[in-house]
Amino acid sequence: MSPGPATPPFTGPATFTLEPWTSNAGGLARSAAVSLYIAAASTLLACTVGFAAAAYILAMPRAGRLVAAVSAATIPIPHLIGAGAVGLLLSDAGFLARILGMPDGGFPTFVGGPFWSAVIFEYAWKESAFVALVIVGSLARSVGGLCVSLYIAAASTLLACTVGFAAAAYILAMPRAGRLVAAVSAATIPIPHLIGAGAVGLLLSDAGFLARILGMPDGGFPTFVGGPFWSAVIFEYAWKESAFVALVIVGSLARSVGGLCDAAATLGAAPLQRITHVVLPLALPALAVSGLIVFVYTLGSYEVPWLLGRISPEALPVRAVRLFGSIDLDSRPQAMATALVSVMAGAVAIIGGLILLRRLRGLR
Amino acid sequence: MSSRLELKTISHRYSDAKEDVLKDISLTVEASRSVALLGASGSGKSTLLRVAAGLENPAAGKVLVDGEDLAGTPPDRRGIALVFQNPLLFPHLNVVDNVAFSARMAGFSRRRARRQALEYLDLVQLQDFAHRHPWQLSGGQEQRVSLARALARQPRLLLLDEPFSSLDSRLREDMYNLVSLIREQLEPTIVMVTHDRREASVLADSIAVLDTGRILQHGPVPQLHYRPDSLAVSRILGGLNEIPGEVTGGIHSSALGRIKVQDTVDDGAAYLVIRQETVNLVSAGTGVVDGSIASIKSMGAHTLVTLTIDNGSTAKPAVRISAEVVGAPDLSIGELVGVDFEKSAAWAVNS
Repeated sequence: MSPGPATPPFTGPATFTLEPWTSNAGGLARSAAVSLYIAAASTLLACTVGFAAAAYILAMPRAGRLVAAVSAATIPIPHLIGAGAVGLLLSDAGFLARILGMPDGGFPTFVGGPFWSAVIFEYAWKESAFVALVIVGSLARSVGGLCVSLYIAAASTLLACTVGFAAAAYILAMPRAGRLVAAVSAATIPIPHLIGAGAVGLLLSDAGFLARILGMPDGGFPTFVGGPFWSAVIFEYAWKESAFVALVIVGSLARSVGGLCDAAATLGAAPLQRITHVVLPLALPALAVSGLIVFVYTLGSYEVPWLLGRISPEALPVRAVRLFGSIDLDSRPQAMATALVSVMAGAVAIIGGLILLRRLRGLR
Repeated sequence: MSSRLELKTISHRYSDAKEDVLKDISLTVEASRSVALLGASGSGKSTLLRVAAGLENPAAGKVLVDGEDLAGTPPDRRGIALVFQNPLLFPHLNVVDNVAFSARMAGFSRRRARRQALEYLDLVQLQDFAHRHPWQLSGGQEQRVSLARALARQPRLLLLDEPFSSLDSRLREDMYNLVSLIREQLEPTIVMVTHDRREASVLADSIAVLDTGRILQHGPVPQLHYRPDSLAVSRILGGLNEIPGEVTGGIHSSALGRIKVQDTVDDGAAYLVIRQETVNLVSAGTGVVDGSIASIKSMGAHTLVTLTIDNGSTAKPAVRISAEVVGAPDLSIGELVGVDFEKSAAWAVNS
């Protein structure tokens, strides 16, 4: 298209022209690139700093309050005021340059410099506070529940695997006496967790069966049910799941381990050495699989922490169920977020477990 | 690595069994000697090894090694290594760590245990396989590693429980050569269990024949073959010829005629046992007796020819005698041939 005679803009009939785009395309592209660079660098820095601040606020409830307060106070400050403050701080004749004794050219060119450092710093500072408070606001309750759920799941899994492995070793080593343990383990598995939790509650509560037998019904008995360490919850899971772990290990080793232990014995391995050098390494894949199943199940299980745990903080599944059942429909998104956190934690555990299993693949 | 083993009046019964699997067994194995326990499945030979190794506690009797009673000594402290029918290599350890297992259990450092293990792998010619895993080995290689692992224990006694039974014939020959080499170099005392009489004859200085939990006879390999104590021993050693007859004053009378036998046999009904390998086929009328050919069975390089001897009576069943001859003789069913054997080596057992 050939350029026509020059006409003043916005006069005469409407015409289509690319001249405003093409006449200074290079400048336009440079501006776009600079803006994208500033936006990307500021976002990256703001998210990094914001996440670190949020983690600190969540992890350190007391000291974190100051960080939260500073962050909250930062948000209402207009960017223009912020930019002015940053300029006064970072310009080559600014506050920082004077403090550092470099007012005459030795100070880096943050303001108006080639890397737009002062601009990025201003955005990162202001927006990191926003990012931190959003993260804290969305996770403040779920993180408490997640920590509780992870603690219960990890402790229960560890205890279940330890007891389950010991039971499996006993069943395998003592074919006769082990039958009773195997029968008790097999009988334990079909009992629903809700019934198990009820039984454990009757056994371990401060007015329960054990407290009465020991003659400590009036406060002397430790707070297992509803106590700070979730002992009754962990005990119930460990009891039930250890039977599962034991039977999985016995099933995977029953055929081979007897002969291998005999061989180890004639090679000079004492009974404990046979367990640590033969049975345990051979049981590791089954132990890892069953432990992973126990962990993920325990993480997402609802009844036991609901019945035997504390009211606050709530385990993730308990919170999710309560929020889903709430008459306040606004609770539904929170319930979904809580459930999602639980799913994500389970997914991370499964991925980690599968990586571990790949490393154990050699133990066939 | 060489100790004397004495088993004294060993009896044993499994908890769910109705009768003893071992009945009053006594056996002595001198240092550096090799004894084979030969018997059919269920005769109790593997149980006897497990008792010696300490894996089973006998109901009665004693296990003595160099005169020391091992009652109450657990298997890991007996200094007796057992190689099983299944190699039973630890699947979580590679070859060198399998062989180094006993040294590690004894508290040696990993480096020293592996150095020692490599020497034993060299003995079984598997040093190049040191860093492979058990599932990367063939059956023969697995059994070699199992043998090296047992030898690395430097045991007072080496027990072999049918370790070569799952190998093909060529691998088995290789293993026989290996055991012979080990016997030359280390002179271990060996007790091996087998149901293969050829294996027992190749690897052992003497054979103890077990049947239903009892030792029927223990003696040098030729004695077991040519001078069995009973028909059962003769049968277990693969003897086919049992000629019925009567012994009177050291003379056995049967369809084969009157033949001088050993003086120790009692007068009365007795069977003449003649190894089929010692029977020759000759022209009719030139041997001890004539017979007509009833069957011809190829055994590879040998042929088993069975003949019917006319015993002069239609009331008694016909007497049969077998001859194992070299190659494939030009004979036909029903043909009349002579049967010949060394009369001076005739052996009878009371029925």
